This record gives sequence, structure tokens and C-alpha cells, in this order.
Amino acid sequence: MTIMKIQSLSRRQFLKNASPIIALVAPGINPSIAAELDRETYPDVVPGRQLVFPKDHGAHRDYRTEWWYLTAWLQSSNGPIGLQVTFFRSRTPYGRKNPSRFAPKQLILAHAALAIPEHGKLIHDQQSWRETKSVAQFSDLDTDLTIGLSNNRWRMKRTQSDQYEISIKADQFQFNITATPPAQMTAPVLQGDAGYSKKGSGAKQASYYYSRPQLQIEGEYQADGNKTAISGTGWLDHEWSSELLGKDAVGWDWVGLNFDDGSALMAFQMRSDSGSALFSTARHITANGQLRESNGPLQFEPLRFWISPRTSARYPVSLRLQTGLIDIVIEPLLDDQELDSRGSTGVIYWEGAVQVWLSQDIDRSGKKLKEPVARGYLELTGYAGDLSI
Amino acid sequence: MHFALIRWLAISCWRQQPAPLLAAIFAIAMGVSLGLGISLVNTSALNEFDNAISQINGEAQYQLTGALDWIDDDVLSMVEQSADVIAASPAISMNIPIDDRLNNKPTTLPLIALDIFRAAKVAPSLLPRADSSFAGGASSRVFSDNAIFLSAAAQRNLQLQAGDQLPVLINESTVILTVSGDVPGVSNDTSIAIMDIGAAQFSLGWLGKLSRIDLRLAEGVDAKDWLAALKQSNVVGAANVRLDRPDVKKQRMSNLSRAYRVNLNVLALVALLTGGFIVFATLDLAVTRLIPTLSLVSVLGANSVVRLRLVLILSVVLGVLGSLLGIVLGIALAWALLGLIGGDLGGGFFASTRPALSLPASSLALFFLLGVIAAMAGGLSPALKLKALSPAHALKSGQSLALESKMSPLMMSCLLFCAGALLLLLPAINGLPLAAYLAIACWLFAGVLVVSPLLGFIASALSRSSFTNASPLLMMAILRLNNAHSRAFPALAGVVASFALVCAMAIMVYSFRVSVDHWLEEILPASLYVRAPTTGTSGALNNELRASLSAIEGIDRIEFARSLDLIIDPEKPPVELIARTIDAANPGQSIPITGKLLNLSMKDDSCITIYVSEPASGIYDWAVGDTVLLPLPSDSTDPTCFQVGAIWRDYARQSGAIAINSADYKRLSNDASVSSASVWLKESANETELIGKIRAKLESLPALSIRSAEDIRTLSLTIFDRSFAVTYALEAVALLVSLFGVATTYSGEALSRMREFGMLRHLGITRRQIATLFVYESVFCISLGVLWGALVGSAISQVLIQRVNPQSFNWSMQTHWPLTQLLVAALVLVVLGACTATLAARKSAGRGPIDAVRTDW
Repeated sequence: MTIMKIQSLSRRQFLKNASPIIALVAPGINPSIAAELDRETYPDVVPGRQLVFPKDHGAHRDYRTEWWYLTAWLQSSNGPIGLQVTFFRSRTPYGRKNPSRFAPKQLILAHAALAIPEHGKLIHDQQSWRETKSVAQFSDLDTDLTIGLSNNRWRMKRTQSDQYEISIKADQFQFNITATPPAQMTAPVLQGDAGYSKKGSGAKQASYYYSRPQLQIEGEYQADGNKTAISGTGWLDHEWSSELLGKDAVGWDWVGLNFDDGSALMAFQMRSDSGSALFSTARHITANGQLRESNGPLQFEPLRFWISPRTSARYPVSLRLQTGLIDIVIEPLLDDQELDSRGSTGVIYWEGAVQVWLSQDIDRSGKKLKEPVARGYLELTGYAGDLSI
Repeated sequence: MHFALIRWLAISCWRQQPAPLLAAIFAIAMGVSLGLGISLVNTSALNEFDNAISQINGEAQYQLTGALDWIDDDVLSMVEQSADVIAASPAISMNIPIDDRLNNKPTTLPLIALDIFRAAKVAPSLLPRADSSFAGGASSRVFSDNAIFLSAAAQRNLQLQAGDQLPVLINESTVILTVSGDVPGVSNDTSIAIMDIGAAQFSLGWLGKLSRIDLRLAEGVDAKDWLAALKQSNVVGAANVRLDRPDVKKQRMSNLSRAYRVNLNVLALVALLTGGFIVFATLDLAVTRLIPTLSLVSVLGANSVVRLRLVLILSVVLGVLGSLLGIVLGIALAWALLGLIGGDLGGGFFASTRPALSLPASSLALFFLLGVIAAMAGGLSPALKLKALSPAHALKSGQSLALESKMSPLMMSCLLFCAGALLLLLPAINGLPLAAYLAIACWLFAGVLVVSPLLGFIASALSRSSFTNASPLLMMAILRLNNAHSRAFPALAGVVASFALVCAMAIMVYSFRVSVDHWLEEILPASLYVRAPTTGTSGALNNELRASLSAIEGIDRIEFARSLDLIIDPEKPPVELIARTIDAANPGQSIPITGKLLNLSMKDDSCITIYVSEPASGIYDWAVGDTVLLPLPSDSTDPTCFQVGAIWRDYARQSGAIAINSADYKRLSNDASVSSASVWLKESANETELIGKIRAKLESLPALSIRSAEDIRTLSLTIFDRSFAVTYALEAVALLVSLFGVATTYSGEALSRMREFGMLRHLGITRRQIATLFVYESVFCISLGVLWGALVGSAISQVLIQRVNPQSFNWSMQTHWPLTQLLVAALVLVVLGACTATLAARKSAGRGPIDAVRTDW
């Protein structure tokens, strides 16, 4: 579930330049925005539409928003690192009759971050463009996105053999990786009801959503010094929609976890003002791609908070998650994976690499009795003040 | 050392003559304050211009522009492909016509259209901020098709706020834009509008076109090589692109206004120069008065060095005091000028700026030093004179002494004159007529130095003539001047110098004004002039409108013209290209040709004839018959060749203009639109009525201006007078300072001759007669000074007209003599001088004869 990713992503980095994106992504935040945007039509997300691949790997330019989101927990000779890349497409209500090459009909935004423990905090970069031939473009036929001038080019491309090739060239860092789905999970994992994923009470508040968990990642990165080989497991989400969020949510907690046994778990909750869960869901994916719904109440229980020295925001960076099927403890790779964008947007959130222990493997003093069982990404939004603009 | 002694002498000098010393201080202060004030206003204006430009430019490393106002946006795709480009931000920069609600008149607002994503890297200060109160939410507005963002100053000036509608007339149709927020990154007085580039291309008539691309290239990339590679691509319009540093505009502005600024500063320094003469006159008199005291002191042991030091210290003290006062006054003056009239002192370069006062320490130090140097220079001659004093002789003779310098003034004057003449042969240095200014200084000093020999010569000639027989007093006056003509020098020096400069300026400005007037008559043969501002990339008057205009009854003839800016050299401001009807056989009918036409035998038939203005000819070194390459858009692959057919006079466009026949331009560029029309009326037609008819036809055009030839002429001359207002003011100050000089020298002179007057009283000459004698002398001297000053001034005016103006501004003019003005100024000087002299003479002749003879001991 990457709503919050987009929400936070867009707020974090693009508000200064492209605050409309918020409106485009999350019209629910402000009814009046929604009212204005409703004048321009977007296709509705309806149940029962069958996702067809590889076509649905490509972009769906008529829908309002769409994203390809890849996270990975990786090992290198320097130790474990976290990696995150998002490509985000947004169709604006503007310029539809404008023949100018600069008509702002489609925007492409991208964000990339590395979590390297020895750096103590995230290294990240972002780009935003309007659709521009060969500089900021996407394919409608398969996952194939390009953004940036040649000096700073970012790419995500799915090959014929169903591998994702991702290369990022930013000022402070660069990486090239390939992500290969495991042999037992060759088909995309359709979230929700065969890819129709409800996001709120209204019928239209939904998205088309599929995931590629347990991706086998190989590649290299360079942050300072030499190129270093990296390998590990990753997770890719692809989701598109025209309308998503309810109004009363103040923040979200989301995890996408790859277990060592080949299974995977996605869980999220949407929090209200009072901190209570407005809506939550979890989905277990077995090592051979079978889906299992959780059968009990979903519970996120904060175990440890980290207070940001920069923003004083208090994040539950360590969580206990109970889905009914599983009871786990989530611990961050490093505490400070906060993205602070007060300088530009004023929005702050936490998005980081985590590892997971079974609760039963941890004794009362907190001592871990066994090795972790899973790795993945946790996202915490809405902890540093009001998220609304 | 002898500082105690010097201090004592200086104080006694001050006690004896506070008024002349005060006047000297004030004269220095006047010069320093004028120079500093003008320099500060200019610096502030230039800084403000720089700020405004850099705000609009952002932090781009380079700007890719075309020779015309636009480049094809395919060039951007080409640029984006280059591996050496780190950032490329396209921008459209234009002025949109709108209604100024505060002043209830049409005006224009600078607009920059950009891609916010790309601009964030090169021009973050220009990013718009959507208003949060906006219906629909702030965030939805930035890309909106009709959103325009106005800086705080623009919102203030136009009395608009977020949510208001702003109708903009673009190429005959009204585009309604909605004010959607502000531009927080620009300064509070920058009036600017921002739009999305996609929306602007569509709504404002710029489809497929851009004004510029702001660029950052990768480190180590050679910009020239990079540009050369780009030019080799086959993209439309890539051939004519150029790569500029963003500061090139400031450089252009600085270059363009430099000659004007230097001219003003030189004028201001004239006041300082006159101040130096007054210090000289004052100290010379003071020294004369101190001679008996000094002789005594010297006999008692003070040597010549002490005497030299005394005068130099006195002059330095005067200089320091004057400079300090001048700096305070200068800052106040600059502050007042900036507050009252803004940063433009009349040159029109910084029109409508209201810069903040900047106070560079270097300027303050420079003008302080100049003030002290002027005072020291003034004190040098009296100091040397005093050093050479033979005390015993002076004590015995009991009177002042005339010290002969090693070289006669006549000789020195001749040398200076020759040096000046030689300097005039030198060309301008870096666009500044520095040699000519030096020549002026040489001639001025030559004129001043020669004045006392001249006085002696004339007085001796007069004393031999029968003219003086009429009145014994007159004869006495003449005889005295004949025998003591060098005594008159201090008083005369200031008069000659200041009047010469006033004359020179007056003659130059008057010649210029008359020339402009004649020129206006020549270039405005039609009755009405219609002008529509260009808003997009083509002229505003299309074929239809032109046809409908021509059809108006009462119009005898109508000629259309298209003008656009052409950048020929990126270091220089754009040249205005004017496409209009020109009769190739007789171009003089359409434009005011100066000099000869291109000889038919020299005509290159493969070239298109162009006519370049005097400034263009000067700036680019084009002569009649030269073939030149112009970066005009052309479908042909071969570069078009142009040949200069004639040079025409143009006072309006200082950065140059090129006239070309409309037919040639149309053929080259396929641009058939026009931006202005000259209308000849039938004799029966009523002008007012016709203006109404034209307005009705061109209703759809924004900010249309229709003016009669007479209006334009009046307006132009008003602008001319305004631009020379500062010059007039400086002249007046120079005159004032020279009056000071006359007053102080004559009152000093009268005092120092008290003993002589006492003797005359002993001989039975009455007080009144003494006064008359003194007035005769002074009127004679001042008249001679004024007359000689006028002559020297006339010579200098020719340097200004023939050298300084062509070298600084690339325009020529004919000399015209402002006889009335000069006569009045001369009379004022003579009469006021005579009055001062009379008063002074009355006062010093007023004492009893015995008293008078005694006192001076």
C-alpha cells in the first residue's frame, strides 16, 4: 500500500515546485480542490476489470495518478543498506487542448533514497518533470520510465524476461540494479479483489494495485568512494487510480516485508486524529504466490519511539505487528530515516528499511534469541504535525 | 618642527580672513558633493539594474538566446540531448499590455513564463506561489491554463489580488488570466508576472517559440565548443543561437550608460576644478597679506620650508574640511535625488527605477581625495611663491612681491594648447573620450594661464591709446592693471575657468537641441503616427487591420513599418531593425541621411541595401559600401549579404538602428506583420476625428498609441530638456561657484590694498573716487575674464561637439550659438562682480587715511 508513499513523497519533495500534485494525488484532502478537479474527467476504478500483462505493467495515462515503487533490503561489503525508488505519474486537469510541447498534461516525478547506517541518515534525491520526449517519458505498453537529462538520468524498465532494470544517477549517489521475481512467483500478486483495491468507503475510492514481492536484487551502488556490489530482496508496487483517500486520515503506517522462507506480508493502517485505526488491512503471500487474508484484528503496537533531533517528531520506529496469522516485531536498520523537507515543503515523515523478528524469539528484556525472519520497508507518516497543506 | 609656529600663523590667517577661507571650503565642498552625489546615484541605479536583472535571470550559468527576440523550441530538444547539459530551463520573457489602474492608463508588465520544475534549478527566485485562499486550493493553480502570478509590487501597482481577473490583449484577442498568487522570491519592488510556459505558449501566441534557455553546463565543458556543436545540428534556428553569460545584460547596460555617466561626472568635477581655483585665489591673497609677518618671522629664523609647509597645510586643511562637508552634502544630495526623481538623472537608461542608496567606500574615498587634491593644487602656486620669498627684501620694500616662475605663463599656455590639440587626434579609449577630456583640461589651463599676460597686453595697449584721456580715474585703473597685471590673476583664473566651461556646455547643449529639433522635423513628415506594442513574436497589425486602416476616408497615404530588436554582438545592446518603405533611388526622402550615398558603381547587386544609423555605424564600425552579415531569420541556406547604402542621423536609439526596405525584409523573413504606421492626412481631414476613426478600427489592439507629429516633437524636446536638466543645474552651480570666486577675491583684494587706498586719500582722492577706481579695475578685469572665458569656452565646445559626443554617443551635430543665454550669463557675472567689488572698495576705502596707511603693518 503506497498511498502514503505518494502522499509523503509528493509533499516531501515536490510541494515547493509542484504543490498541485498533492491535489492531484489526494483530492480528498480538500473538498474544494476535488470539486474543481471533478470538472475534468478521469476514468473510474471499477471492480471486475481484469488486469492484463504485460500491458498493465505499462502506464495508464488516462487515470489521475499512478506509481511504480521499489524498496529493497540489501547486503553489501559495507553491511546492510536500504534502497527506495519511486516513479510517479500524474495526469493534470490542465492543458488538454493545448498543442504546446510544454502543456502540463502529464507530470512525471521520481524519488530515490539510500539508507546506509554509517551515514546516520538517508541520502536522497528527486526529480520532477512534465512529460517530455526522451527526457521524461513513460511507456503505455510496459514498465519503461525515463526521467532526467543524461547527466542525471533515472530509469526503470521491465525486460522481456520479466526483470526490472533500474539505474539512478544522482549528484550524491548512483546505483544500477536488476530485480528478478522468484521462480515460484512469476505472476504479479494482485492486491485487493483481483487487483481492485478499495481505499475508502466510497465506491470510487479505490485503485488498481499489484505487487512484486521477493524480488531478487543484484547490482552495485556508489555513494562515496568506490562502486560496491549489492544484493538482497526487494518489493515493487504498481498502482493506479483516479480517486483514493478518505478525508479524516491524518497519517498512515505501512509495511512491505519479504520473509526468509519466501513468503511476504503487506499491511497498513490509516490513522485518525485520535490515533485510532480508521481502516486497516494485511495480506500474506506464500512462497508460491498463494494469497492468505489475515483472520484476526490487525494491530500495530509501538514498542520504541525515536525523537528526531531536527523536528522533534516522535516516530514509533519499532513496532509489534499482529495480523492474526503472525506476531512480529519490526526494528529499523537505523533510527534516523526521517525525510525532513521543512526547507521546501514543511512536510516531514519517516520511511525506512526494517528487519523483522518473530515476537516469540524476543525475551522480556528485549534480547533477540534468534536471527531476524524478514526484511522490508516501513513507512510512518503524520507524526510531525498536521499533514494537510 | 615648527608646527606651533605654523599653527599660530594659520590661526592668525583665519582670524584675519574668515570669509574667503570659508568660501574656499564651501567651493571645494560644492565640487565634492556634486561629483559624489551624481556618482552615488549612478552607482545605485546600476546596482538596482543589476539586482533586477539577476532576479529575472536567476542563477543560470549561461543563457541561450537567438539574434531575434525568440528561438525555436526545437532547440531545447537539441540541448536536452547533449550529455554536457546539467540543467536547461526554457523561458519566455515578454511585456504584456495591461491597464495600470492606479494611473488609469495602459502600460506593460514584464512577464516570464517558465517550467517550474526546470526553473527550480536555475531560477528559484522566480517560482510562483499559489495563494492559499484561492477557491480550489492553492495547489491546483500552478499549472492552470489561465493562472498568472504577480509579484507583490505588481499586485500593488495594478491593484490586483489573488482571485482577480486580468484581461490581457494578445494579438487582437483578449485572454482572461486569473491572478493566482505571488512570486515570493523577488524583491518587494520588482514588478513581474510569472506564468506556466505551456500555458503562455498557447495563450500568449508563443507556440513553438521561446525567448531563451537558461543553461548549466557540466564542469569542464568548453562553452564555445559546445555551442559550435549545437550550431552544426540541423535544428531550425540553431544556426543563429548564441550563448551568453547572464551578466552580459548588466555589462550591456553598463557599457551603454557609461559614456553618459562619465560625462555627468566630468561635469561635476568642473565644479571641483573651479573650487581649486578659488582655493588658489584665496591662499594667494592670504599669502600676500601674510608676507610682512612671514618676512619678520623668517628673518627671526623660520626657513623657507616652514613657509612652504604653512601654505600647504592651510590648503590641506581647507581641502579636508571642504571634502568632509562635501561628502555629507553629496550623500544627502544622492539620497534626495533618489527619493525625488529616482535613479535616472536624465539619460533615460534607468527610467522608472527607485534604487536604494548604495554607499561604496571607494567612491567616498575617491571624492574625498579629489577634494583634497584640488585644494592642494590650488595651494601649490602660492606655496612655491612663498618659499622663494626673500624675507629681507620683502621687509625692506614693505610690500608684496611678484614672483616670476622659471617659465613664462605665455610659454606654458602655448605648450598646453599644443598638447591639447595633439590629444584631440587620439581616438576614444574603450568607448570613452578620455583623450578629449584631457584636451579640454589642457585648453582650459592654457586659457587660464594666458589671462594675466593678456590683461597686461591689453592694458598696456589701452594706456598708450587716447581712450584713457577722458577720465583720470580710468587712466589710473588701466595703468595699475598694466603694471600689476599678474596681481589680477587669482581673481581672473576662477572667472575664466568657470565661464569657459559654462559657455562650452551651453553651446554644446544648445547645438544638440537645435540639431534634435531639425532632425525631428525630418523624421516626422507624416501627420499621425500609430504604434501598437509588439506582444508576441510578430507585429500587431495584420493584413486585415492594415487594409481597414487604409480604407479610412480622409487618409491620403499610409506607410507601415515593422521594428524588432536584433542582437548583433552579445556584449552590446540590441540594434533596432526597422523595416519600412524606403525609396532606393532617393532614400533621403524617407530617412535623414548624413553624408554621401552609396555610389551606384560600388553597389553589390547580390546584397540587400540597408541604411544604418550614426550610432550603429559608430558602434559596429560600418561605413557606406561595407557589406555586413545580419542574423536575420532566413529560409535560404546561404547567409544573406547586406550592404550599407547610407548612414542616417538618429538621436533616438543610442544602441543603433538599421533601416531596411519592407519588401526586402518580408522576402527574407516571411514576416508580413507590422507594428507601426505613418499616416498622411488629406488637407480636408480633421485630425481629431481621424484619430477617433483609427482607434475604432484598431479597437482590439492593446496599448495603442496614436500621436501627431507635433505631439511627438514636443514630447521629444521635453524629454531632451529633462535629460539635460542635470547638466543645466551643474552649469548653474559652476557659475555660482565662480561668482563666489569673484566676491571673495575682490573683497580680499580690496582689503589688501587698504594701504594703497590710504595713500590715495592722502593725495586728495575722495572715497567715492577710490571706489570708482576700484570698480573700473574690477569691471575691466571681469569683463576681460568673461570675454576670454567665452572664447576659450567656444573652443572647448567644439571639442565637446566634434569629439566628446561622437566618441561617447556616436552621433554628430552642427554648432549653433546660444547668444542670448551667453550674453545674459556674461552680464550677470560682470554686474555681480562689479557690485561685489564696489561693496568691498567702499568698505576698505571707508577708513580714515592715516588709519589705513598704518593698519597694514
